[in-house]
Amino acid sequence: MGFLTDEKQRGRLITLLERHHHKLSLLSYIIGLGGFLALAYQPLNASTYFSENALLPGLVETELPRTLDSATVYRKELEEEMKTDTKLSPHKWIYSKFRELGLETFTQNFSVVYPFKSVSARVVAGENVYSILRARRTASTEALVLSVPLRPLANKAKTGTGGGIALALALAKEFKQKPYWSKDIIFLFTDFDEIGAMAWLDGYHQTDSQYIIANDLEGRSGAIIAAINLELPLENVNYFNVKLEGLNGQLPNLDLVNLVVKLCRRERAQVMLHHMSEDRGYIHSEHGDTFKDYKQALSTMLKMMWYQASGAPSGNHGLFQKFHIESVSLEGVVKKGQRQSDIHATAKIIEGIFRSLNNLLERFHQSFFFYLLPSTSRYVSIGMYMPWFGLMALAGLIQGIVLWLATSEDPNKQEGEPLASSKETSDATMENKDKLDESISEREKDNNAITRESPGASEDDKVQDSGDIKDIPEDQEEKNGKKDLVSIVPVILVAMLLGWMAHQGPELLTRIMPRFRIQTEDMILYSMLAIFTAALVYPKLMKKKASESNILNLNWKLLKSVALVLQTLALTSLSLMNISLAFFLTALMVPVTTLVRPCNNRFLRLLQMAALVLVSPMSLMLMVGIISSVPQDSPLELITQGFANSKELIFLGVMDAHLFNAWTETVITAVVFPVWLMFWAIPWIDSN
Amino acid sequence: MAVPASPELPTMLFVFIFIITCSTSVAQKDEFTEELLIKPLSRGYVYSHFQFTTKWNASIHDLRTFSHYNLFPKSLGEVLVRYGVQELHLSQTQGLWRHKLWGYPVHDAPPGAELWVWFKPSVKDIDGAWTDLVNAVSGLFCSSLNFLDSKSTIVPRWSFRPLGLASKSTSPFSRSVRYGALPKEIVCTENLTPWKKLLPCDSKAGLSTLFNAFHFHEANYHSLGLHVRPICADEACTQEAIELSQSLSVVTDVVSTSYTGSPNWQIRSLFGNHLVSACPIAAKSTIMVDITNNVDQSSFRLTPSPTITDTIKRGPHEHTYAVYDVRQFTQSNRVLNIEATFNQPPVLVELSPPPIHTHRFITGYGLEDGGISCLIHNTLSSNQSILYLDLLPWFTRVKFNTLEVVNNGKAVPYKVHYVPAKDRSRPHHLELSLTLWANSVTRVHFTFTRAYLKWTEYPPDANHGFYISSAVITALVPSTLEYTGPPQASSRLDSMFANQPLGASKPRFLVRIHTESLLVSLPTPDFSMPYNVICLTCTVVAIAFGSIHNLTTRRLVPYDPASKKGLLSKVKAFLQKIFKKSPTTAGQGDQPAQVNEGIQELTEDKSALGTDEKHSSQES
Repeated sequence: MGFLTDEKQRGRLITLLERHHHKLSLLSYIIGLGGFLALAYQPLNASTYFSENALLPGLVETELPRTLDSATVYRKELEEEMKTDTKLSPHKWIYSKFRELGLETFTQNFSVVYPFKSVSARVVAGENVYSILRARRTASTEALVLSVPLRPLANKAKTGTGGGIALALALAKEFKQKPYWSKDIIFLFTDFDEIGAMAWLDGYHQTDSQYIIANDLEGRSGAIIAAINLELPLENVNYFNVKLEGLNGQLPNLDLVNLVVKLCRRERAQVMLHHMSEDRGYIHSEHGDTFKDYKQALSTMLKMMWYQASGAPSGNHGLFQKFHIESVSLEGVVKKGQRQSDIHATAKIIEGIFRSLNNLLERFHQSFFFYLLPSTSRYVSIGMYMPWFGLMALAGLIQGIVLWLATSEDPNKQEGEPLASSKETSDATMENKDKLDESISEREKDNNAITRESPGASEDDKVQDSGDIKDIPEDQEEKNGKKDLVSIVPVILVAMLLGWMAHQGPELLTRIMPRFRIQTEDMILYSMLAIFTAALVYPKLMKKKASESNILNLNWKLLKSVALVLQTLALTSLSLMNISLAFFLTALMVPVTTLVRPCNNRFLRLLQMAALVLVSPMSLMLMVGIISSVPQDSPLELITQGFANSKELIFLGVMDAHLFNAWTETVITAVVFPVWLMFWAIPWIDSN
Repeated sequence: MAVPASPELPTMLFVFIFIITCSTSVAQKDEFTEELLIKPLSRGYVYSHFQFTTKWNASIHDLRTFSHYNLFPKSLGEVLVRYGVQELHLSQTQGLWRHKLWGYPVHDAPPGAELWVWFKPSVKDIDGAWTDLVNAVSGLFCSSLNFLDSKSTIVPRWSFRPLGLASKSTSPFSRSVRYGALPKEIVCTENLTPWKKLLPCDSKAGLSTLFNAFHFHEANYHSLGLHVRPICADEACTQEAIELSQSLSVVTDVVSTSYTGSPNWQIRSLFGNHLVSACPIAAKSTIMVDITNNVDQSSFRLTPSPTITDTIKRGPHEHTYAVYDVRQFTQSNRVLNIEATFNQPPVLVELSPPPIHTHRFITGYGLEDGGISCLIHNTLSSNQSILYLDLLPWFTRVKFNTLEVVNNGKAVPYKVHYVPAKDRSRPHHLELSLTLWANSVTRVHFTFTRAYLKWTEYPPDANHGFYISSAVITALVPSTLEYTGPPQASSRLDSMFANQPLGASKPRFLVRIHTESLLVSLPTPDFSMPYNVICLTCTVVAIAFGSIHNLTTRRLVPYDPASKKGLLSKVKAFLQKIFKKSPTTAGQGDQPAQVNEGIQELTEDKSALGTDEKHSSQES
């Protein structure tokens, strides 16, 4: 606290910062990155536990018969039904079966209007089927959801969900006999996976969506507490894959994940996260600290972060989370030559989960909502990963502050001046970074005010005391400072404008020119590419003007400082919502953006530009596409497949933004892209 | 907004009260009847309604009445007379009556507890009487009705008119009615026991021997009702009588609870016991089975065959009942076990949806705003006026301007009575009078903002959410489709068989339905947070205290190191002179700052004046 009261020490801190900022930011980045990645090391994370005592997982004895014959019967019938037309989902069959069970069964029709005009002729219609098992003793105030996406047999891209449907029917039959339910159970079968789920949830909560037009629901229950999404194929499964990443990187409460994992383990079923097997040693704290275990855990954690960063839901569960309904997906995976869990064991798992959820008195609120999982039963909480991320982001901020100090300092000035300015900046570091922006604008105002007043004032001074020479250079300096800030404002504005264009571009372009006979995927990709390449030349255009008149002489230090502060601000606020996306962006962008500076060496300048282009949003997208298509046979195939993937990725990103209100596309185009563009201008500036 | 037609409705209800016909003309002092109505519902559900009616031929307004009791329970009578109660209607229910599937029950009741009371016009301090009454009643029935304070009580304007005799002076907008509901109340055996004790035969003999808490609490719905009201003692209505109607309704899911999954039922499977006797005090003890949908035995067969099969025409619909006289069947130690055997393969009864049914739910998500929608279906082929009453707790801040009543995309005109809430003292009270168009769905919708509670106001399990009680819809419908209630004159079920009321060319039947109760979650603090906050603030205080204390309490005094030197520093300076033979002026300047922090501050003060001065002072 000394530096609060002691100006000298504050000055010392600043000089320390100025002297060692390169070392400091390098150190903080490396320590941050290393620390973050080291979190997967077993001694550095903690094993999961139940916070919510009411769940009582696995406390009750199963009440299912030893072999749930109805499930196998339903499965057989369903298989035959689905084989009659492999392109259709068995809506009618499910509807009639649930009616036979005596449950309230309804259908919901919905249609999807595709957001881009070129395909708007294609209005896709779908139908959800759902059935409500009314709990006997309550007044339908709370509900649990068991959802199964409907996938026809012909859909080979995704695993079938027939097992889930048969299981839902068999469980509904069993559950109906029991008097102990305290919450209604809704069995939901959604068409087109997430789109159907979205339509149903929209209907349930009567929220409107622009592109998914959902009919009203005929029957409802109360507030939905939790949802389990089953993606089980008709065959016996070898292991269960837990999927939890939701829309915009939302995660379910950790208690729910723990519950699913624990009950799978109780039935001796193998349960994995992102298909990553794990050693028992890692889970229990005895021998988990080998390098092999660490590698395994790190790749599991990075895979989870990879999916979370996309901001796209990895299953139906992702959309429930948007409505504050905790949910996970349980995917059954068939792999030859391994121990199998039959449908009876699966039924017991689901029964256990629902009976645990049935015990809940309150909504999930006890355990973590922000966490990373290096394994199914070890976790890294927000309190553990945030400091490391903070260090990584700090690397850019240090540079930003030092550059700010450098611009406000002048070697000719007297001792008193830098102290005053440094006071301002150190205050800014203490406060939120956005304050800095305010202070910039305030300064601007101040400067304006001063310049407006100063001509008169200086004249007065001259009249009064013509011998005082000090006033005149100070006045000029202030004018220079004002000029500096004004000079970078156009760059910032242009960058923001281009970001807005990239955000709105695909839609605008498709609206303006619907004549091209190309697919929407291509349309979006090419319009994005066009905007990107157009954006690349903007410094050139501005420079040309600068050569004509002397007004736009950019102060690169100021520009970089503002850009760095803005970047830190954007990344840290993003990290509070989607840590994974923020982590990847920080890890890639911060080293390049902190290093970039104007220089006269042609080679170095080109190198910098190449590095910048490499971390630009567009090439990041391409990189993601290429990484997700690994492994491929030849490099050529890798690139073509990677290109196709990234095209798909961009398309899906834009679609998710329109259909589900996902933020990733907005964040990338309207936040990250303009920030990047500001840095892009720096190597173009003449270093003199 | 106001419709010319709708103001008629309250008046209509009012008139209805006076259309009274009495089937029983026996003018003895007390009379007790016990009845059981069994009605098969859709999908193998069975509805059993026990009706115990005590008619006491005395005036409730006459204070001398309550000085001697015969069959009427004394504990209740004392409560009634003490608080000047004219009518009392109490229901305690677990589960939700699903009108669309099950039609109308005899007495409709919302989930939880509901109490509404008409006080005698002579009662002056009604709020005080209500407060005392709810405490007395909650003691009597072991329920938490004492929570019906001003925060959950309203004065219904139109919806709850007296059901019994009321003097003409009872104003249509009387102040002497109170309504309150506790949707959270859980009904259990502890409520059944005191309720049962009010019966003349307790559960020692008669139909009440069938009460089996186990079976009731496994059922899909069960409701205890108690209604006291003044009625006419005879058809001519020359004398008043007090009617105590106690009812117990149970809905059993026969298919699910039987191990074989068959829809067959018998009294033994429904209640765990067969019937061995009738209550000896009872004037009449009957069991009625509604066979309206099974007149030709197309679905099931009843054994033993009933004493009589009676068909009545109520309004446009006919209802057929198989009536068993319990006394006759339980003579000479025989037992009565009515059994319904379904034909093979079983054809389950499917009821058609009743004329008016509703669906109410919360719209929106998140913890800031929300909405409540109520869809009111009218399956009649004629327009139907209804009254809608909604009672919302104060912490769901209703935005009255968002209230809309829409039918098929068009706004429906309505008349409204709205009393906004007062924080922590009064709930929102919304009453609408509107007309449902034929064969249509009308949507009543409004939005609300969730208020912040004080942290001590949260109940245990705060994250469970908060209940909003059911809305009440009252109507006089011309149809008796799936209607089971007795006529207005008497609560006895056999009064249905009496002659139709006078001027019965177009009779109307009072339908009161309760919608779903709702659960809303409010923004709830993390209750472990105070601990964290205490930790954090303590740390901050511990760190910042020293320097802030220094800053605020220390006095800065000009100090001239040359003029006054402490003993210590003199010694030090002396030692320095010895050890460092040639100390520089700068070194000397730094030294005192290290010795004492106070000196450092002073030198700083001076440094502001100018470095030259500082140096000179050092040197001197």
